[in-house]
Amino acid sequence: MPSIRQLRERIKSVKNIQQITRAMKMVASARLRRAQKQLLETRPYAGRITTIIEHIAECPEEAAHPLLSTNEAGRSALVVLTSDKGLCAGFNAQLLQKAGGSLLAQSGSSGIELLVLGRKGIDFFRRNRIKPFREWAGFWQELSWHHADLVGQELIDAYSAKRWRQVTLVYNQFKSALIQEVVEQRLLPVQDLRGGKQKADTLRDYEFEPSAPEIYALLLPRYVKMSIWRALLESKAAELAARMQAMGNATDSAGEMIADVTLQMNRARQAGITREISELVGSAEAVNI
Amino acid sequence: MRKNLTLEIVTPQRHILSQEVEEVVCPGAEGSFGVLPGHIPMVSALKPGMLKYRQEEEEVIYAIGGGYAEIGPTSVIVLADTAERADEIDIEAARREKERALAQMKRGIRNVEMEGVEVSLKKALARLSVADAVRRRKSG
Repeated sequence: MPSIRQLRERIKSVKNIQQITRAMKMVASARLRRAQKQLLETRPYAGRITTIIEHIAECPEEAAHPLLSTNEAGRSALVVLTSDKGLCAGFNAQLLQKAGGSLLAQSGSSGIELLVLGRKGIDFFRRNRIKPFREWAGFWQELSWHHADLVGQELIDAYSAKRWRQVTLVYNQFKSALIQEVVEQRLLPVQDLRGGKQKADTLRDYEFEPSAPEIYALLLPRYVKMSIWRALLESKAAELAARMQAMGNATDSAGEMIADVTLQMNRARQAGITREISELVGSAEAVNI
Repeated sequence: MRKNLTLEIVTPQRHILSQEVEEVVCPGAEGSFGVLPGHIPMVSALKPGMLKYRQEEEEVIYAIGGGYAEIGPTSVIVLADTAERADEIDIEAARREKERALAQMKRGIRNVEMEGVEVSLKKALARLSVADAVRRRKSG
């Protein structure tokens, strides 16, 4: 049985932890609101550019661009978006499990090259002695379009040089403040955007101005970067939501623990008092007899 | 009743506008063009400039910073890099941006950056010309 002093110390330290987790929850929720707003404002543009590309890609005779065509040879590239910081429950673990799964599934064929974003992912692959092709970390705090541009350009260049057969993104999608979902999204080649669903009934014949190749040359890289930008924003919002939830749970369990230990401490104190009284009564009776 | 066009303007930052209009004039990469309902499907690159639309005799002007437009018989979707309504333009900021771009050009910089500077100069000029056009119309 721990002494009353030990219990008191314990209550104090749990209270301190609770304070920290509560503060982290507040910070995460404030940041989440901002990230969510940014994400919601990006979605219409991303949706629209996808529609246009879809329409264009349905005119097969026009569709000739390195990013539209399938590379027969080469390895697959897997872009994994993880966070820099932990304390966000299963956010990274679930994602890396999924990424690891597709890594195993495809390692038999021609192999996979990894592009890892975020400190947590880099650490994970290092622990498993897997060397990623490219690593980026430490940018989540000041995430901007520049990062999407950087990563996108690298992917576009390597794909155009026929280094890869296909490029897949793995990231956490922000569904709501309570739900994040790990998604795998094929990024390159740009085709079959509806994932095998029915094609639009109206096959439009488009006029292009200035010309189809010029439009493609501008629009496709922009689409790729936009997709990455959106994935980054989704991932950031999902990370903050996961952290908010994790810290909320931690604060709750700290509260429970404090209640438990307080009860224990009160019991111990009461036991002490009872013991002293019975000792007094016992010795008093001994004197009387 | 005449059929209308649905004009939608979106930028990477936000959804700007979604509205029924009668006519749109876009700053195409190869010259301005007008769009009326029933236009043939078209995808066009846009350069920084003035985008106008008309709805019941009221004409509204936006300054857009380049982008793309997908035009169909009943809709115009504009994917702009930036877009501001004429009366939202910060003239002072646009002027400063222009001066800065011009100064950078004079100083002479590497080719890579030149492109970016040129784009920002064109955007600033587009904003200024739109603001100017609106002011002239009001006074005249």
